[in-house]
Amino acid sequence: MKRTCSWLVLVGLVVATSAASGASPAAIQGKTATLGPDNTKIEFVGVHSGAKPDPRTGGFAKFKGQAEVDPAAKTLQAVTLEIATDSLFTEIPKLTNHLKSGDFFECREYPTAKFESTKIEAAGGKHKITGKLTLHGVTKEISFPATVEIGAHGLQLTSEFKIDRSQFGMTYGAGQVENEVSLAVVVGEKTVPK
Amino acid sequence: MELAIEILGRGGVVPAACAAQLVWLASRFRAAEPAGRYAAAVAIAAAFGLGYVLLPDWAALVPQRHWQWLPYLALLAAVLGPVARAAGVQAFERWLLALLLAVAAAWVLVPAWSDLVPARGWSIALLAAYLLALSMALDALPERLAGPRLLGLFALAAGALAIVLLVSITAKLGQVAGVAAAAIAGAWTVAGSFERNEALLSRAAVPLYAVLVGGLAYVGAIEVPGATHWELLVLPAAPLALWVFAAGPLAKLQGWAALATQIGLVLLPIVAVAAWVVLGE
Repeated sequence: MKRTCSWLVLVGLVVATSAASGASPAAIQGKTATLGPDNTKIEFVGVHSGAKPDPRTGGFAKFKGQAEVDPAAKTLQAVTLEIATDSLFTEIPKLTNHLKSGDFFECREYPTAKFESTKIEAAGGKHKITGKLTLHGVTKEISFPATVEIGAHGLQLTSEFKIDRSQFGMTYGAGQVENEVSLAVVVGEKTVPK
Repeated sequence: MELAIEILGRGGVVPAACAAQLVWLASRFRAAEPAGRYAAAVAIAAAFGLGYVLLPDWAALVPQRHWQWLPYLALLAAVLGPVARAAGVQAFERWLLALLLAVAAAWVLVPAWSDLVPARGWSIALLAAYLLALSMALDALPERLAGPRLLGLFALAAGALAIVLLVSITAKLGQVAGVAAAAIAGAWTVAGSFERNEALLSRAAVPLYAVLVGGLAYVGAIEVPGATHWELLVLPAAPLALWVFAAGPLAKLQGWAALATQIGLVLLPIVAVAAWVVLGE
């Protein structure tokens, strides 16, 4: 029996807002865009330690949030996201359940993860977003770059960055699974659970 | 390599050796009646406690999760189990002690999750009923079926639970169950040194087995949201298959034939549940 789950590691948390062609931007009403699985995709990639990284990609199917924008300056002002951790999905059901268990996300104990921006610096379409990420019951300040487009059709955003899962108390599997997890957030692209 | 040392060494060899050593030491005083009653229960609880302490820091000594009460429940059971087997204790008093232990265990092992199904109150009642039924049904096994062989079958069921948890649910709980299995197996290896007190030795450890292994099966069953595995509760109850040998044609089996048939019948539900959980996903 292969212990498939043990090879699954949370390596990355990716929130991506996609400006890719064919994508549907998040509609802006007034100065607010509502974010959800129908217009935003949040993915993560974790890799194993050693010679065979064997990356595993996952995402979240249920989340809600808001983005405040300045339509005149075409800048992002604030962003919040609340994720239902038990909506986590991967391509491998056994891995999905293992990631939900106490070895990683501990979804029964911590059913939500949150991000709330505290500072956003904009230079053209490039933004640097700083905020508080609450994951696995631990709140840490993180900063990450994002590409933002605000047009007549709405908001599009793409961001890729990495977090250290061990800083959020997810320490199980050290030496088997890398602590660094890649995250991609795309606003403007629909979540398609695998 | 580090994980192998953690699981097999600190989580397996150390608690097994600790339990075996404690039972062997107690056997030096086997003429004294309390030694027979307390030996296995205290040895298993102490060895489980030691193995738990040697686990990484996710196994907190100050409980922050419901399952982290298990070492303390083991200590409580190591006292109440032998007390219930003291001379002069009536059957209804034994039931009361078992009920007290089952309710205390259910109270701390059922988490306060808002999405828990059934809700916490019902879960406490149902888990307490399960632990009490498991304990009393094993306790009532005929004398000839309750020797050191029973401890061996307890270790087998606990080991199976550890493997299933490790492979299919959560490695942390699998490791904790592995410590419990190793501690029981260690006590079993030297239980024969108690000679005529063997049944007393095993029976006094029944409440501890029920709370520790039954409790672990419950916390493993509810661990993953949307993927509850109630079938895990069958694993700790597998030794109840011995009741088939209480009367009827199988009761007449002797020697190796009896041993092989008993082990085979206990293995049957274990293999079925393990296959269901591990291969059924």
